Amino acid sequence: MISLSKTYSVNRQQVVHDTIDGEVVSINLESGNYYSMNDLAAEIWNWIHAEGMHSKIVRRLYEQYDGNPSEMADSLERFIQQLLEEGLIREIEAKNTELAMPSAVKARPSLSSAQKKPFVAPKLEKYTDMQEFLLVDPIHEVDEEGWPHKKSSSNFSPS
Amino acid sequence: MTDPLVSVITPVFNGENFIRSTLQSVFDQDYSNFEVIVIDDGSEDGTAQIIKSFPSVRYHYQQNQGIPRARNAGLSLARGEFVAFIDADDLWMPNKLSLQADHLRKNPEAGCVLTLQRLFAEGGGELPVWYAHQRFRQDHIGYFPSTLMARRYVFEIVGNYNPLFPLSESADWFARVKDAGIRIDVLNITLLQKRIHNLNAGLKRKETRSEMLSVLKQSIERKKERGSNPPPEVTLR
Repeated sequence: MISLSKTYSVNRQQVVHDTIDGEVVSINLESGNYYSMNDLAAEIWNWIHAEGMHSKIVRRLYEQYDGNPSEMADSLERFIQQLLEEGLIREIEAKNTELAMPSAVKARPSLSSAQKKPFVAPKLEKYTDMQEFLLVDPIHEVDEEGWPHKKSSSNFSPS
Repeated sequence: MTDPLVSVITPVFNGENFIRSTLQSVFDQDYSNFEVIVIDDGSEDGTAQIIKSFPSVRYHYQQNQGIPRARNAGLSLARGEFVAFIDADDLWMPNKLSLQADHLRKNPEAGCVLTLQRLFAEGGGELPVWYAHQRFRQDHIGYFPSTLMARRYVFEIVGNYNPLFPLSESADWFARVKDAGIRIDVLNITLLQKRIHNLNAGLKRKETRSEMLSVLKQSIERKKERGSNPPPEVTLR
């Protein structure tokens, strides 16, 4: 059971991600797997990226989506568990334990049911077919400046 | 049986430091039926003079248009049944073309064949920090044009290199080949020495990562259009 007090963050050490036309694409550089998230999955990912406090994620979910509350909670927990298992996010120490407590889940003016989006379980789509490629591709750790070494004019310069 | 003609394509921009040794490694091959096409993408150094010292090279100069367009210009001139690339700072082992051409000839169902590669630092120094990872210190599969030999018709099926991905054009091309269900084989032998130095285009981390994510997004879309059929496996020989 995932506690409301938990806080998550994107596993920046090994994950590259971007939102392109509403779809989150992420790569786990350690495994070479890559992932697609759409709709609610993309929204939850961006909530985690912005501020991963579990209590706030739950609150946003209930504020913006309409569905069976226990089904929504179970789906959310399964999704977060998947993200953890795939190494895409990690659990971090909450900076403010008071805020991280369930009591901090404060009610906001809630949307009416008609204004809320219908709940559809978030889905993490996983792809493994580029593993060998991604594990050896030069997208891994390197300083922004590149490799400090003697200057050379040999390499191709893309226009 | 006659050896199939292999078109060797080298894109180069201001490559005077290394182009001679690169071309020499091509002409030192123990395979004779090949043509060499060098696309000079607007070099302003001594590159042209060095290339012209190899009389059999088909030299083509163009204004700087970036590496994918330079590779594509080479493809448009290629006459071979098979196509291979070597970037202007890499070195082939002398049996690279013969082993790969032999493999494609004996495996008609394979669209292309890769080899292992060994990284080496310019000037014999240490590799940069991230290359120090164990998987880069060992010889490993090179998903790069310099390890590739492909049947030319594979480019007709999946298209040429995409100029929209100047840093990840190779990743995009391999993804398209895989998504098309074309078999990619790997020779489990090191036939490329890949030079690593500070101006390797791949070291532009931020841009490369952004491009790679776009490449993967396009690949995901292709898979969704295709349905749930699994992509083909890379097979080791």
